[in-house]
Formats: sequence, C-alpha cells, structure tokens
Amino acid sequence: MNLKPQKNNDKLVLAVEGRIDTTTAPALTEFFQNEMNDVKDFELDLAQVDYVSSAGLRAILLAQKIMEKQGKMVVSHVCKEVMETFELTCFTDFLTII
Amino acid sequence: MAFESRLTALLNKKKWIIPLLFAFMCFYAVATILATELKLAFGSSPLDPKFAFSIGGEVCATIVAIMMTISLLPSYKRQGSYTRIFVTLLTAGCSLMFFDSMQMLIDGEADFALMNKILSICVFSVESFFVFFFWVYATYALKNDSKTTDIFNYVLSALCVIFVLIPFVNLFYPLYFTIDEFGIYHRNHDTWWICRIFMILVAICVIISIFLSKESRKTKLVISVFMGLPFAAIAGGGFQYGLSITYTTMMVSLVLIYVMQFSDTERDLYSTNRELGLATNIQKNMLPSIFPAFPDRKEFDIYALMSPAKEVGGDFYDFFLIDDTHLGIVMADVSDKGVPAALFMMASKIMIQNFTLLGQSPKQVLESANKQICMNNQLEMFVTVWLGILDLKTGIITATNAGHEKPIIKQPGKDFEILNDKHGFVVGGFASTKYSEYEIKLEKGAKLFLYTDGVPEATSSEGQFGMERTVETLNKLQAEDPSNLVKHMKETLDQYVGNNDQFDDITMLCLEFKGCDSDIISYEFPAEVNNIDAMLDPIISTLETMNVEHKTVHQIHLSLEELFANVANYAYCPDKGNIHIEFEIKKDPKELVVKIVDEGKPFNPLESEEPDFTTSVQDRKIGGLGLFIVKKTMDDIKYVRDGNKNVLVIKKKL
Repeated sequence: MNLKPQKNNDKLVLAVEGRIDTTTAPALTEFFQNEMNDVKDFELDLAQVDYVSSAGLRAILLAQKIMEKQGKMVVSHVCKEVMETFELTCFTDFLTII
Repeated sequence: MAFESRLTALLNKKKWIIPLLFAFMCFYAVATILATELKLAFGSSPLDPKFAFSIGGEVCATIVAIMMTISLLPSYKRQGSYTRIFVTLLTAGCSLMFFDSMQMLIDGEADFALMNKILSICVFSVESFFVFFFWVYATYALKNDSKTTDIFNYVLSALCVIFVLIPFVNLFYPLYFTIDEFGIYHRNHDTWWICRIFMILVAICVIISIFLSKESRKTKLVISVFMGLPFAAIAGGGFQYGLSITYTTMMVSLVLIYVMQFSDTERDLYSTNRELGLATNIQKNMLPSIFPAFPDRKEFDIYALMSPAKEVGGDFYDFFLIDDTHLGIVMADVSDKGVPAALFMMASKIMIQNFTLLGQSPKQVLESANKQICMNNQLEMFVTVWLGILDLKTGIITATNAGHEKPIIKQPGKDFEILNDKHGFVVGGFASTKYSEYEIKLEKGAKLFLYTDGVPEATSSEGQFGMERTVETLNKLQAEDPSNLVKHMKETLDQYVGNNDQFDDITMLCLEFKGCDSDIISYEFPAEVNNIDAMLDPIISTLETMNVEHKTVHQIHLSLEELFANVANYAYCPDKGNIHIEFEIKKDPKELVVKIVDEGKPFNPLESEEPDFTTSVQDRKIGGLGLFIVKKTMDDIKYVRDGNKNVLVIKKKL
C-alpha cells in the first residue's frame, strides 16, 4: 500500500494505492493520527484500492471521527468490491461517498 | 374308565390307526364297485334300480370320506384327537355303507342267503357303533365334561355294546328281518323298530349336551342342524324299504359339520398368520431398506438384504450417518429365531443405534448395550454384533466384533479376503464383558462384505455352502456394485440350496468405499500478521483457478483475513504459536470448507458483540466489524473448543 497525499492549504487529498488490510492498515491509521491536524477538507481517494479489510474500515472510521470535529470528509472513486464492504458494515450511513 | 375314553386314548396312542382306517375306507370303495360289477355280470336276478341308486350314493359318500381324510392330513398335528375321532367316525360310516351296499347286492341271490344274513347283521351292528361314535364326536366338539355327560357316557357305552350284540339274535330268531328261500331280505315289521331305540337315545343325549354346552352358539347350531339331517333321512327311509339314503345323508352331514368347525380354526390360524405378517413388515421397515440409501453421498455405496427363514427373523443389519463424515454400520444375529428373536432384535438395534449416535466408539457402544441387555435378559438370549464406524474422509473403519462372523474385505487390486479380526464375547452374555476395537483402512474402491452365519451355513444335499465357497463367489462378483453383488450372492445361495428349506435367516451387507470426492489441503504457519497473505494464498488461488465469482472470492478473502488476523493478534498474545489451516472444496454442491485451528486462549468469535450501527460516528466502537463481516458473508460458522484448541469451521457455497 502506498499513500500519496496532496495538500493544498487546508484541503488534503489522500490517494491510496493497493490493499488496505491487516498488515497495511496500521500505516493508514498512523497517517490519520499524525497528518490531519489542520485539515478542514479531506478527500480519501480509493481509486487504486480494490480491497479494504476490517482493519482498513477501522482506519477510515478513525478519519471520519477526526474530520467530523474539524471539517468535512469525502471518499471518492470507491470500487464495487469496497462499496460492498462499506454497505455490509453500514459505513455508507455516515461516509460521504462521491 | 368309560368305553368312550378308552377308545379315544387308543386312537391318540397308536400311530397306525389313521392309516389303517384310511386303508379300510379305500378297500370299501373299491370292493363295493367291484362287487357291483360282479352282480351286474353274473347275478341271477337283476339289480333293483332303488338299490343301484342307493349303492351309487354310498360309493360317492365313501369317496368323499376318503378325500376328506386326505385333506385332513396336515391338521393331525395341530388338531390332535379331534381329527382322529373324526376320521374314525368317517370310517365307521364307510363300514356301515359298505355292509349296506354288499347286502343290497347279494339280496335275491338264493345261493348266498347265509351271507345275506351275516351282512344284514353287520349293518345293524355297525349302525349302533356308528351312532355311538357320533355321540363321542359331538361330546368332543362341544367340549362337555360335566357329570351329566359322564353319566351319558357310561350309559351309552353300555347300551352301545348291547345294541351291537342284539342283531346277532337274528342268527337264531328273526328279530329284525328274515331271509326267504330266494335269498330275499324281509324286514320283521313287529320288532324291527328296536334297532332305532339306541339311535333315538343318542339323539336325545346329544340334544341335552348341546343345551349344557358352553361352546359358542355356532358350534351348537352346526351340530344340531346337521344332526337333524340324517334323522330326517331315517324318517324318510322308513317308508320305502330299499331306498337307503340314510347312511349317505349321515356321512354328508358329518363332512359338513367338520367343514363348518374347521373353517373357524382356519380363521384363527389366518389371523395369527396375518399378525405374523404384520410383524415381519414392521421388522423389515425397521431396517433401512430404501436403496440407494444415500443418493447424495458419493463417497460410498451400500446395499443390504435380509431374508428371514421364518416369518420373522433374528438377524439384522443397520447403517446410518452419525454426522456428516461418519457412517455407522451394524451386522447382527440374535441367538434365536421367530417372534422372541425379533423382539430382542428390535431392542438391540435401537440401543446400538442410539449409543452410536451419542458419539460413543464401537467398543463403548457394545459395552453400554451389553450392560443394558444383560440387566433384563430373562430369556437368556444373546446377539452377535459387528459394529463399525467408517470415517468417510479417510476410509478408516473403527470396528468391534462381538462374536460375529468375520468381515470379508476386498482392497482395490486384490481379491476378497477374510479379515481375521479380534472377537469379543457375544452381547447379552455377561454384564461385565469388555470389548476391544480395531482399525482398518479402506482404500478408495475397497469393498466390505458383512453377513450372518446363514450364508456359509446355507445347506443343500451336498452339505454347507461354507466360507471357501462364499469367498470364491464374492471374488467372481467382485466387479459388481454392492447392490448387484448382494443380489447375485443371494441368487447363488438360492441355487445352491435348491429345494431344501432355508433354515436360517440370511443377511448380507456390502459397502463400497469410493473415497472422499474432495481433497483436503492443510498447512500451518506461525500465527503472525505478516503471514496472513501466505495463509490466504493457497485458498484464494484455488478459488481463482476455479473461476469462482469475483464477489464471492472477495467475501471469502475478507472473512478469512479477518479470522487469521484475529488468531495472529489475539490467540497467543503475548506468546507465539501456530495456526493450522485445512480447506477443501466440496463438489456436490460446490462449497468451500475451511477449518482454522489454534492452540491459543479460548475464544469463540460467535459470541463477540455485534457492532451497534445506530450510534453516532463519534461513539462508534472500532471493534467487532471484521467478525461481523464474517458472519454476514459466510454461510455457516461453527466454533468448538476441542481440548486446548480453538476450532473454527466456516463454509461458503461457491
């Protein structure tokens, strides 16, 4: 998994490449914990992600929790398989998916 | 002892009496016919048509009596003295008709006047004896043993002797009849009626007996109605000398009485037979008899057959699935036959099956069943049992033999061979019997043949079928599937036995082990997060080569990763340990089964809390999601704590 953040003032677009699974999710969690301090507008671009495990879901949930406090968050380019996982776990209820 | 009881005792004791009586009857019929021909050919006077008519009737009645005696042959044993008395009565009647016919034939032959006299005396004499014997028969049928009957017996026995002797007075004095110089018989109308006294007395006694009898109304009715018939004939015969239909009527009425009585007995017999038939059916239905028994199981094929020697047998076979991968197989033989054996068999069968289904091993099952049976075994019956549990995945049979015939096994590429297994004592012998069990592995394509002693001990005039011939026959049939093998084996036995009676139950069972239709792949990794991909890879790549729908693979991937991660993260923390993974693809229906085993802390993922989707994002807990996905997407999850192991089995249809 690779993380490619693009920061423009208080807007951050994080493009993830690869699988977000048990082994890779901790890196994502770490990113959210450390790199989101002054971000008001966050876009999580999952265009290059075809797999999100429950560990990945937990990381995304963490991001959502952080962003609800300091701004807004959207998730973009969600592929079919990942969408199914989101639906199954009711992540679609609170994620803004574009 | 009255004359009557002496007579019945004699009839019951001597075996030669019935054949002798039968011979007499045959002689009478033949002699009368021959004599009639002689009379017609050489007689000095023509035969009176009235006589001819009577003789014809009497010959017919004699032949009926002969046929009746023959038809009664099978019931001598069952009916005992009743039949013997009846046959004696028939013979007495035939004698009477014989003398009567002969007298009529000789009548008018001047040269045979003395003969005529003697025959006439015989007719009167035998008539009294016959009438007396009718009394004996009626008493027997009415089952009277009251004092009144005893008195009648004494009186009538005495009178019988007197009336049998009275006709001999005629040698010196024309009491009943005279024979003139032309050899023609003339009734002495003044004193002739004396011969009827005894007959009327007997009739009165029988009527009183009928009233006294406690027998069914039907029996009474039958006897009284048919007693009326000959008396009506006597009354009629009195007017027209020469037209002697009396004796014929008597005989016919006798036959009718017997038939009526006999039909009752036959009906009882029929209902007993019907009940036995029902018992046979119940017993048959107790045994699994619908084949193919497990049409959806491709790992094995089984066929069995039981052919009882009597209506109900003591043999039984049984087979049943204990769980998805274990088949219980039973072959047993109860020490006895018939209804008691069948009842014992039912109890044994149910016990063995129940203990097996409880999960006990063959050794334990037979020990438990033995204890139960010994507790209440008053008839001292026992049962020999071969019990095996076949692991359908591996082909390994765990078996215990309690005094039963040795199984015959054919491994692929080899012939059928007798397995010299270790024998324990029979079940039902001693409560403390211990059994041992052994294992034998059936290779794919192996056949197991179980049987009871009825097979090797099937007997023809050449002797027993024997084990050698059994194995030989099996080898001739070794290419057949279980159903044909058993059926052909039975045919071979039937041919061997030929027309001899099957004296023991014949029971056979054949199992073919075809092997598991899917192969289990198993591997082990240190339970670490870094190994998860490697753990997943064999399964996911197998699924991909099978062109399984992408969505399904994705779900499986998600779930398995979750479960593996769980073990890696929590099972051994902070220690280290391994994770053991087994998976198989079942073909029919297509299904993935994965077994995940670890030796870590007890953890049942099925008991984990479901995430609450109603709380706000901020309150939402981050745990439980993974297991939630597993539960949602997989078709079946089972968890067992097996000793120090967590065993989790998940299934997903493909």
